[in-house]
Amino acid sequence: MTAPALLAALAVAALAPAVPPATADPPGSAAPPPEPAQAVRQVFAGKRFLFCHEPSYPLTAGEKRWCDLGAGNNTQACPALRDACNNDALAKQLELREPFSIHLPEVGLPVRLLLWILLGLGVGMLIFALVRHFLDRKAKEDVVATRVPDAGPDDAAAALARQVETDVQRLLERARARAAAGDFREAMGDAYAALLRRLEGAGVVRIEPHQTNGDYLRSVRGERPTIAGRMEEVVDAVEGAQFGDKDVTARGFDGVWTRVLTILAQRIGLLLLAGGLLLLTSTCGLPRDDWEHSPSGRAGVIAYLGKRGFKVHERLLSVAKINESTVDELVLLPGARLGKEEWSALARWMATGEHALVIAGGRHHLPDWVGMRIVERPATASEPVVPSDAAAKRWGPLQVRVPEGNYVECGAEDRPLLRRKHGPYAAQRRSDEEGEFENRVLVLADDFLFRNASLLLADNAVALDHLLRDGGTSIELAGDLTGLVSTNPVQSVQRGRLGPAMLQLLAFVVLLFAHKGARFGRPVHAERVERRAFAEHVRALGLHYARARAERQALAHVGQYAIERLRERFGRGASRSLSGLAEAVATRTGRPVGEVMRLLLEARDASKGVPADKGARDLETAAEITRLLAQTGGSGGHT
Amino acid sequence: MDTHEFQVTFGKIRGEVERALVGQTDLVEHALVALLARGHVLIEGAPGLGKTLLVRVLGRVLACDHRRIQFTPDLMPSDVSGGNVFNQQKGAFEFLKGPVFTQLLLADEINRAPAKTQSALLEAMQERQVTVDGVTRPLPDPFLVMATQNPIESQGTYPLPEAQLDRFMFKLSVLPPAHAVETAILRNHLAGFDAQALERLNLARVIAPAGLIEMQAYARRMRVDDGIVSYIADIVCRTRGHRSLIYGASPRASIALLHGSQVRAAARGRDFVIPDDVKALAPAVLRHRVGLQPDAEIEGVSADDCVTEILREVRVPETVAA
Repeated sequence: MTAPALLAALAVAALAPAVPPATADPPGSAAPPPEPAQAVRQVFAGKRFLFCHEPSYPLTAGEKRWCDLGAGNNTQACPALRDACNNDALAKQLELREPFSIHLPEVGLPVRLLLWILLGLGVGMLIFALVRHFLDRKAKEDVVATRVPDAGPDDAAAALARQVETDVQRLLERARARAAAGDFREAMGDAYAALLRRLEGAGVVRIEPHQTNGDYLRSVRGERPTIAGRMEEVVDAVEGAQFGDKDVTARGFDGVWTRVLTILAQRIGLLLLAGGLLLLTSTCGLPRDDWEHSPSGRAGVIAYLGKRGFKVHERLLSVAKINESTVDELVLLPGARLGKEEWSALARWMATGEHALVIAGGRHHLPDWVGMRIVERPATASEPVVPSDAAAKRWGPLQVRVPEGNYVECGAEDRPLLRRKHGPYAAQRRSDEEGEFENRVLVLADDFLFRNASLLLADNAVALDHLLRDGGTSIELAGDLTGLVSTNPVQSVQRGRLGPAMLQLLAFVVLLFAHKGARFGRPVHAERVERRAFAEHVRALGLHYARARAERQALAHVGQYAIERLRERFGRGASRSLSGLAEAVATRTGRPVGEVMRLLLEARDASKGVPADKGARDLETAAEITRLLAQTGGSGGHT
Repeated sequence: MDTHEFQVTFGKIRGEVERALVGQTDLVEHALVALLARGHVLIEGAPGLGKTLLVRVLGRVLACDHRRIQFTPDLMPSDVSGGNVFNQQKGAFEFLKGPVFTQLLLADEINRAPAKTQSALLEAMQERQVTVDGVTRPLPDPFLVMATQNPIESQGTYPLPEAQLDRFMFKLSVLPPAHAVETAILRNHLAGFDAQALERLNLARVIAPAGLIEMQAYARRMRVDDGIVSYIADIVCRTRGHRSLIYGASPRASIALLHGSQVRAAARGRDFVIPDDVKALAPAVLRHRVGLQPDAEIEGVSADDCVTEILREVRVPETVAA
């Protein structure tokens, strides 16, 4: 998908529900409508129909078929089309650029529900993040405000001096001004600051008070190795002035200035190059306007009908809601998506009023109540389409020229209006004249008559006028945009023709993931907030005492910690008494009960402040108790 | 001597050392910085990572005497410093110099000796002299002590007291080499490298001890801006009030950081110190001079974490305002 097309699709997807339907020029209130040929000339005089004004206009292979029929010969209405038809090279290029679409699968209710939930969550998180960011920022501003006691709000000059300039352009201008004033040292600092601010804006460095120039340089080496060399030269010069007390001369400043500008320009150059490439890949330099005003589009047809007194709308609401419409005639173009619901609605609409339905090709399966069907036939050679005898009596002799293709298969009660050698091109069925309403279904073999280029050929414009006028002058065109309002995000993407764009976006995200890892932003350590149990503090104290060789105190704390842990592990029965605990521990570890009891008693005595016996080896006891802990499950830690 | 010459000589020494000692760039650089800043180095690392080799290669490249003392639990202070021995022929006591009387001393597994023996090095490291029986004898110049300790084994060891630790300018952690370095070491051996026969490498004697002393003196002349002095003081002072530390670094740390930064600046061809010099050396200078709170230790906080946090808190002078 090209960029303009993508933008157009995005705009359509975003604005579809709110945009009023495209309307043809209102008919003049008093003046009679111009003749068909004159109306066609007036329409294509508009500069937006570039194919009529630009000889190098590139035509697609499909559009070249109009040239074969002689559309280029109508030089009065469309002077440049003949040259465009002869422009083979460009047409070949465009053959590769026929529009394509990716059809996403229709999804069921659970998936749709899930998508809506995800969408809701996403929006909620975004709002939450924005609110939190705003609150955090406000809190930080409050803190900063309370930390500045030396300048009141009246002291504007001091406040101005405290402000940190972060704008790259202003920093560069300030550097230039200071250099002009001969203050090269400050000018160099400003130029360097401008460089850093630009790099920060590009996400290469993060300016923080604790970062050194070396830190910035290392970041640049990692992220932008191509500019690291120049940046290093700049840093050397800046640090020489800042810390080496070197004199900064005009020449020295010029060196830094040139390097800074080169780095900045390199980035701008890259951006321009990328933009240029995007533009090139988007348009291939071909002067095509938007699709609606191309030979394949319908803007000219709508404008022509408007000039001929019709009131034409492009229908955006779903055909299923046709009963709410007040138009006389509905034209179904091939792009209109019709399901059972829509066809049923159409059937009801036809049954409840004097309406006309025009089916302009594109569908091989029509409901039974239509009574006709469109048959596909391989194109061979162009052959003229002429009115049937009945139609010729009303319309006079006409000749319609459209590319070779389908025909309409109709029954005995249907009336062919236009025909060619192999069969009817357009046929209609009217409702029973004795019924309450007189309705009309007109089936065309294709939608060629509704394309801009068609108006340039023979009597096509006149024939279209006749075909539609029988059904009334208020017409709605149901095409690609009809029913664009989506019921789920997937449908929205599909109808917005954003499938390729989403895939490109996905590919970009995958590349970004491959390049940056899981986190696209700069990783930040989450603050760990942990609460330790009281026993852990006791153990920490024990370690502290052990390190200080205060053996008795170490045993007191480690012992208290160990007894508490053992009671936790052996439950209530064991916690009633020390002997019960000793028995439980002995059973688990296989040690003699007496030995375990001795250890626990020593630990308890130490924790209760009982003085050590002569020759007591408290550290060894503490180590033994720790081993006991390790044997009873979990880590006993180290002493 | 000028800055360029200093940079070139420093680079040559480093290049020669790294011909024999593959993949220990930081270790070599810090050892040289310590040597030129008149400091000492404590190396923590497993056996077999090239600590002894470094001293031997340095001795050869710098044309300095070098000795190695294997510290053991029964090592006596006189085994380090030397002592008076009765000479029966002369009928008088004679001083027999211990291994500390050298220019490059490798104190291997220093924490295996008791505090009494460890303290035999205190005067030597700080005053660069040895006093035995009231007689003070100066040590040769230059004088560098490289002590090692094994971080894994703790049984039968005597942790270095704070006073001893403070004498070391840097504490370096030597990590096992990466795969590529390991491969390079093996290739060197396949090509005939033998750590016991360094003469085969034809290592160049880049500089004589006198030149080294000149470099030491030159490095002290590197300009240090007031902002840098304040920056160093800020960093060291913050170690004293840090919530995870029992005690912070002494002024000796500030001085070590200052002189180390001067050498690093000169080694990079600058005649002035920049904040990056200070920041680069701060972990090596501070990590052994601070004591962790027990609860911080339990939480797995290391001295390096604290130093890193402090460096993130201290504002760098003359930087672009954030």
